[in-house]
Amino acid sequence: MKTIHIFASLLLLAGFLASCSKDDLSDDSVLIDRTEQYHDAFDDWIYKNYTVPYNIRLMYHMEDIESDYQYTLAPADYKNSVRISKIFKYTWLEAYDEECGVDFTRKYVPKVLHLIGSPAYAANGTYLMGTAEGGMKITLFAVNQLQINHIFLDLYYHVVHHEFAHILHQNKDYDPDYGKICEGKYVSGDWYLMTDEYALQNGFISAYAMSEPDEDIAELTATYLTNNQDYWDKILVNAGDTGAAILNMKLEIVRAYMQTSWNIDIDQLRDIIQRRVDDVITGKIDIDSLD
Amino acid sequence: MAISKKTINSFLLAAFCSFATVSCSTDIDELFDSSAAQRVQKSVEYYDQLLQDAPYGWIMNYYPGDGSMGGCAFTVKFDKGNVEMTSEIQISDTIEVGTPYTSKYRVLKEQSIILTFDTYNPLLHSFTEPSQSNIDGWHSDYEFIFNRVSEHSDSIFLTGKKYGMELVLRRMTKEDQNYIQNVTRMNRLLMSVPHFYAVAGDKQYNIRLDDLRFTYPSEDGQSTITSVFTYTPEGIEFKEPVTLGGIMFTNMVYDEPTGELRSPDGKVRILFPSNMQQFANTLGQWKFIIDAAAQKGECDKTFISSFYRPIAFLCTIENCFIGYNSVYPDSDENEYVIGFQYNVFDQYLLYGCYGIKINPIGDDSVEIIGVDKAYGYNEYYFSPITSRILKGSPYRIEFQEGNIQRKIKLVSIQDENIWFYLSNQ
Repeated sequence: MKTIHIFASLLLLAGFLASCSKDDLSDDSVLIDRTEQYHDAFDDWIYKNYTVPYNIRLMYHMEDIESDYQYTLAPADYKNSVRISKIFKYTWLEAYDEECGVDFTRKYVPKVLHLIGSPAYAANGTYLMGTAEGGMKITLFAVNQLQINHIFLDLYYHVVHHEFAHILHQNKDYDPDYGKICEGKYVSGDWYLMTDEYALQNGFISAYAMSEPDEDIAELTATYLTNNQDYWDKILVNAGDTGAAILNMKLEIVRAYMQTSWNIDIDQLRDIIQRRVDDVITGKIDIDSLD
Repeated sequence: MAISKKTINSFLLAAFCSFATVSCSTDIDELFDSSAAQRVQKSVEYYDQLLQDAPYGWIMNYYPGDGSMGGCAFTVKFDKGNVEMTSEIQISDTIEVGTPYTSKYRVLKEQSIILTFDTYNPLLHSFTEPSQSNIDGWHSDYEFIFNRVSEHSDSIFLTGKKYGMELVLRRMTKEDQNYIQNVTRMNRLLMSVPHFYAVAGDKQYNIRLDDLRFTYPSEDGQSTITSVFTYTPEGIEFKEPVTLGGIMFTNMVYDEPTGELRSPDGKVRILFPSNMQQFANTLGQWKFIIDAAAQKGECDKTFISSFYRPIAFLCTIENCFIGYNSVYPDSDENEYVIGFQYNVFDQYLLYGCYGIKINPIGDDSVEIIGVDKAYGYNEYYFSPITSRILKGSPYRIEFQEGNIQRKIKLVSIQDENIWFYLSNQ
């Protein structure tokens, strides 16, 4: 019996060898993207300025599979895509590079940036300017309506800094005391029933911040980073004594968290961001050329 | 009967041997020469190359939404990821119709091979982009699935991925140069006035052909059918074949001397409207011929001074017309108006109008009856002109010789001192 088993095993082995011998792998890759060969100067620029240094996939062609089917969307205008890409590199990525070093930025930055031409209009009359998914992808809408001014750009910056704050919090927890400051006042999904004014007076930076502590701290961080001191002071005045006291308490936790967990001086980072945004708005940075 | 272990082993061994032999067999008939992925890749390359193998580009008649609004002529020329488009859409007052816009395209493999216009092109995406008031745009596609290619590769048939629009690309030849300019010319010739009568064989039919739509009686005469069309350099082309008086046709050719549209075999003719219809039923504008700044014009002197007057107040009337209200029915309920385009501080071009009824009296006289102030009407600037036009009614119209009216003269029947020329150019 043993002989038969050995014989059978040999036969099986021979069979495998024989049957494998004809299956040479083809030299032709099935993963070739023909459009790769149509790379132009902007694609090269993206490769050099987003892909290589940050490992970011920047998509300016409309990729419907990457977008949300519930919205009808228009593709991004090519020239505005160039501008947005240059602005974001200068005011967002390089702001973190300057404060924390490029290794930090490339490690934590979302790896996909998708540009969409139109805003994402919803049936209830609202529209989205940007979204982020799980720290992996940021989508910027309304690229075709791009305006180089604070009002417009701050809408974008708020989204990216808000989402980036989430990423930092997911990597290193913030002080749980933050959530205790307004414990019992969070309203979860009913935040849209609140007004920003009511939120401020209760120590929340926006109505959305009332949804839960994670959103609260991300909103506070983003608002602080994307506005100058004058604006912040006005917020505190509008918040009244009670609201301002709570906001200051929360800001101190954010400041301490950024310093101890990430070695980021939040005031210094804010100054860097403001300076870089001003450079764009005043035209110091050429946002059209691909040099 | 008991089966011994030895028998089972022998059977298994035999089965192994037969498997090994079969799997080693070298004469398997492959259905395809290459793998599915490779064949898909080849299709991508084939379609992309086909799109680019058209040195003069492709004609693309685009029927937005559900197609009921009629079509818009485009040309598209593909070159290594870039597509240059022209179309009869007027993007802005300062940009000439037919000005090319370049954007990106890709041929991609998804569940099918698709052609996607995936960076913004103001010509095409004006139909697809959403707005606050219209969150799904015009329900139109910019991603298309390749369906088939005609025998000589001169037509490509595609279907919209999201809304199922049907799209045909037709290869252009050298003769198709200036295609959009010629389409635009035809558009202007035909769209300003609806057509009311058609002759097929020896029978006359009541029809209506106006901007991009043709409404005609069904074969049994029991109902009416509306077919949509696109302008072409020669005339019009229907989206689907049309049958009138038992004669089927898909396109019609404009005959310059008579102004008629004719089926290719000449058996169906859409008659050019009468002189009076060209004025009273216009879908365009019959404009005053006046140079207010130079105090010159082809009208009586009181009119000239009425036009000149507002200039002192930094308002210039650029254009005054009698005709179709450009904001009807969206922003105003008057179909016909005395309309004004005026310039304030040399910066803003504004529109205002006064509602009227145009009632023909016989073949060459017309009543112009005032209804009321309407959209954007500026009493101070416009009323001297409006009231004089209304005061002169009814008018005798002096038409030009021939079928096609370009410039007409209106003379008040009761006061010959009130007169003016109008032009629809």
